[in-house]
Amino acid sequence: MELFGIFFAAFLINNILLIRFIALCSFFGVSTKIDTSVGMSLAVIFVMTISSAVSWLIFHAILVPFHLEFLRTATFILTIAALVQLEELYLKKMIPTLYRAMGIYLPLITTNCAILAVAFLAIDYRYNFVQSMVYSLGVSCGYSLAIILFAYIRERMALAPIPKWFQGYPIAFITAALMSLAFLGFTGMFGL
Amino acid sequence: MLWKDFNQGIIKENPVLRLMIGLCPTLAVSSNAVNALGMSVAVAFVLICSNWVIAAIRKITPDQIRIPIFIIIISTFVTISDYVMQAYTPELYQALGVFVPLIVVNCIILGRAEAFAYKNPVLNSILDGAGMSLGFALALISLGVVREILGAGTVFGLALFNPAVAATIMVLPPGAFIAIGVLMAALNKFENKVQ
Amino acid sequence: MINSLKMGLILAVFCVIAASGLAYVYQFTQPRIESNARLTMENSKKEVLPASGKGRALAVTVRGYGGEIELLVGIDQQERISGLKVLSHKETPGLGANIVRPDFLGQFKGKKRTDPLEAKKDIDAISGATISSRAVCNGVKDALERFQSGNN
Repeated sequence: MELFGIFFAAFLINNILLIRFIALCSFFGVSTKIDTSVGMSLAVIFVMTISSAVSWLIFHAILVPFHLEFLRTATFILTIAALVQLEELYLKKMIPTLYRAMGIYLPLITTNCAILAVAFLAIDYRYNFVQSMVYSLGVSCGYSLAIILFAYIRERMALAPIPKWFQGYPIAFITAALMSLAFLGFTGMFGL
Repeated sequence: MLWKDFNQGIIKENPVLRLMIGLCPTLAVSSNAVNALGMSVAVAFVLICSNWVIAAIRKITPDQIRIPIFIIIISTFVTISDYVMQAYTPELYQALGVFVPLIVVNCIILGRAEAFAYKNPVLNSILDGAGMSLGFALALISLGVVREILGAGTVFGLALFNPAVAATIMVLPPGAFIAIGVLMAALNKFENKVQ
Repeated sequence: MINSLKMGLILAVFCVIAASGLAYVYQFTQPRIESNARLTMENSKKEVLPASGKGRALAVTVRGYGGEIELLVGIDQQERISGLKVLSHKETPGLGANIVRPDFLGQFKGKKRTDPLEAKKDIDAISGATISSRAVCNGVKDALERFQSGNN
């Protein structure tokens, strides 16, 4: 039940894109087409789960025992960058279909702040290993849900008559506002 | 020439409103003007220092490993500002939360390192960093002021009108999207008129 | 091979410089960060306890609307609430976040364990934020219970 709560809160209530405002660059950047947003979502789910496990282990097995917490930021970002490279190599060799689906989004992920944010937040919330795995799964599912829904809306929007000054990004932001409003409605559900 | 390096980040290539980078902190910490100001100062510190160091060592940095080196330099300055804020402005640090360490992945900083500081002399790079920081601060603080006035009836914590008539939604997450959308549309209209 | 060794070496040099710089800043700011935390806690305790300083300040955590609310509850020797402070919260700005306002927290002053301590009964809830108000009430009740069991 507690794990379900963590998952649900990360998935909808504190949706990383629409409520926490993390990883917005990719939210607006790759959501113009449904295909690209699906590719990005897959890559995020894959990388986030692995990197949050590794960064949790590094923090609790190396940084804490040696009192090196002040190297946290540098260690995490380098770990994530290195992991992304390794994962790319591995996927290319072992699971080429998945590699093709994620395509160019894997390298882009290093600068996706959601990955780093989840590593930090899991430590700030003092989650244990299992909890932080569930948390990162919830966050990445929430990311996928929001970005894929948004891509569907934006594909429709390309055909809509929009006032001149609002074309392009401004209307995308207004749309995101409405989605954010909808997600705000999840707050307080199940007493979370 | 030097003036141009400083100038272009403010409006013409404004990182937030034009280049669409650095959005996360802009939207997340702009719910009031004080937080927006604090975030702007932190980003300015990191951006100017990292531009300066990267420009200074650009000749001895091997091309293949420049990105990891940039990341090490940037994360060093981010951690410094993180600890300095914790020590001297603990309340602000609490309010900004995870967005302080996240400056490390703020695309503005790595972007300027790669696109400008790595190719230009020290003085130009510092000015470029200052101009970009100012542009970022401008977008962030104007959003913060607007949201705080409309959403809480105050500006920099000073009461302007009865908060009971304020539109609370403006300080909630959707308000951030609305405010930046309208601000961008207004900028489009303004620029069109000038031309 | 030699080339990649050289790259690794350069990278290692950068890491060492960065890490030692950080270690210096860390040593320099750490005492201040710790004393800040102690100072805020001491000041908060002073705020919630009666002027004589007698009584106990208890920290309690309750679940609010947006997340956990940390409260510091001051209880005097007559088992009455002498003061109340919100240490941290994640309530909605403009609604639940109003639990930090003195006109809401002030209502608890002088309350005892035998009082109902319920939103909309003896405590005026913040309009539009019943869940947050109720959470604060529960936290105060918890603190009074703990004070009671600690004294016996």
